[in-house]
Amino acid sequence: MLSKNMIVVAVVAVLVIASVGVILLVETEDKDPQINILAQVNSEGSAIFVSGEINSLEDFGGKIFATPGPDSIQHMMLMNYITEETDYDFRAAPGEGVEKSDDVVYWTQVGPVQMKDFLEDGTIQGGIAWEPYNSQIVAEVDGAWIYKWSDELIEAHPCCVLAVNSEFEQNNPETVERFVAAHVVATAWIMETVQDNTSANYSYMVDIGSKFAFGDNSTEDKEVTKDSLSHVAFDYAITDAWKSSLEDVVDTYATLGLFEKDPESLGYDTNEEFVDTIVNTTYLENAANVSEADEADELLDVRVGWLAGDIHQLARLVAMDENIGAGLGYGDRSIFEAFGLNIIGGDGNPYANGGVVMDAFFSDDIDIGYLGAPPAILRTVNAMA
Amino acid sequence: MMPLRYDPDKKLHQFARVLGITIVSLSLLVLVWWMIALLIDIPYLPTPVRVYDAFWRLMEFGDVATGLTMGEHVQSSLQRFAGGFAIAFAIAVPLGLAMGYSQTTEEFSNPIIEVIRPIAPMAWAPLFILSMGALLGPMMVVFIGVFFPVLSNTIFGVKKIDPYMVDAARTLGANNLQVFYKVMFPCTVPFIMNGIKIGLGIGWMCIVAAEMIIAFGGGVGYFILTQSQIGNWSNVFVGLFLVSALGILTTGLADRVHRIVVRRVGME
Repeated sequence: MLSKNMIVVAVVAVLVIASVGVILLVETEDKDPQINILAQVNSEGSAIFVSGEINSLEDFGGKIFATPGPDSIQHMMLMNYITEETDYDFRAAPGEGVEKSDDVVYWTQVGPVQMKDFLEDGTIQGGIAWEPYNSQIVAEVDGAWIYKWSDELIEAHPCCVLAVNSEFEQNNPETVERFVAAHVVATAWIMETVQDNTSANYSYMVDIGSKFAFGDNSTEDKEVTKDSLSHVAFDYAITDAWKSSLEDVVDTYATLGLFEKDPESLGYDTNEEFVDTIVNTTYLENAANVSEADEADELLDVRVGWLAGDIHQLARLVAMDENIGAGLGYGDRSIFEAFGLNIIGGDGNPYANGGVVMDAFFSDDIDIGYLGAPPAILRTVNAMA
Repeated sequence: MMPLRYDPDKKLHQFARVLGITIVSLSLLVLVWWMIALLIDIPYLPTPVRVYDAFWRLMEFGDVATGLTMGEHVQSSLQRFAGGFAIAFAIAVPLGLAMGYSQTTEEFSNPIIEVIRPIAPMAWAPLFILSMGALLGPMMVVFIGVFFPVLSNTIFGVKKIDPYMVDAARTLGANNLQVFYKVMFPCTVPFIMNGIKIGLGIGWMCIVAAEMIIAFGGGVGYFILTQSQIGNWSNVFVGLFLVSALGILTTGLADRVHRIVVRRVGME
């Protein structure tokens, strides 16, 4: 009869042989990106704001700046600006009682919605956020001012994009086609509407933007929303120039050391090749050919994720609004409904930042998401390592 | 040549046996982890090789996401942990001795303690961190985690003292104070040390979890959170191993102190 020790030794031996066998025989396959970028949502529209105690770059040392998180484009832009354009180090803020160095600019993670309160109570002395929160801070916090708009940090930087789960895209091309077509119509409506700030459409757009960002429609909030709209460039087009700026984002992340393995180590010859893989313009090119769905058709469900209070993603609000749909001649349907889609917010929606939207993609909580291009790139590359 | 036979009475043999089994056991853990990582192939579970590479990269370049070195993260966690532990120890031991010694004190304190005890330490974290900041807040979470095991064990230790020993001390002329520090305290030390060992384990869990809530000052929990946000799961695993290593070091240290103290007070 086998002794207890012999049984243990046998189990261990089997596990060792099985493990070593798998390690020797299983080869890791190159992974494809889990998401694809389908269209642009906006560029520009972020800013570094500072409190009244900061008058110039010389005053940045030893101060704490808020960012939406290390995976956001805003964080990347601030980090890149401080480390590449100044002599300061860029580090996470220390706890209380720890002496701060004047040679360091400190960062801490704060949701843009809370940045105004943190600036007012002195927890932070500056920050970088998406609109409308920069405009809100300047309007409502004494002495606060915009140090630089994001176009001064990286000209025409890519910001929010429309991304799709690759598997969902392969299995549901018709849904994706309709979604992109609706996005194009909504964005085109915004691009036209912002041209005339005296029109009824413009007032209505400000109303829904203000309500989305601030929860109400006070005169002050509307003024802030109007101001913020003037700082955001809405567009859906994916141009070679835009793709080139996306390559710069890849390059910046690689330089900052935030990739576990950069695209080159993952088997791509160039950043351009990687960007060409992750960006899929097919649907955008075909959007004009997608026709309105019949009212009698059953709507196709699509689970969508977006960011909390981010005015950059106004196209999503516009596409879901029935009044705007009516104005465009879709009867009592929103643009999404007119293209045969039923929008379902993903679990946990709206999300705090782009990284969380990526988590929702990875955990299969959403099919399509609005998020910053940089977190989409960062999280996708790191998931492929 | 003499055949090698295991002799359980020889310390060298015992040590070699424990060492051998430990090495095989940990090697098996790494092999099975490696096998599972290859088989399920998801970003959240990197292979040991990737984690090993990430460890050396972090040692060389630090945590580029936060700009802090790994030493600074560890120092932040240890600082908060030590503070919380010290506060818990300073309050739980005297209170436990008093509650074990005096029935009235126990009856008075028990309702308060029993109301607070079921609240998980992490449930306090948002309150403590928002009201007390990034240093004292997490310390207080550790305090809650360490306090109750130390308190319970101290009370238990006092109650386990043989009444004949107290009577004998009094018969020999010891006053209350002498009974306390010559009989009660030494007899309770092994129980207090046991509470400390349990508390240290819980304390580590608390500090890592609390650091995932704060946004200031670094720390191993904060490092793990930041790395998960940028999706660098190899670095996350380095953080997890760091937590494990620090936990083993602190409980090992407590075990060593336990043995020394027990020997000193003659309670072996």
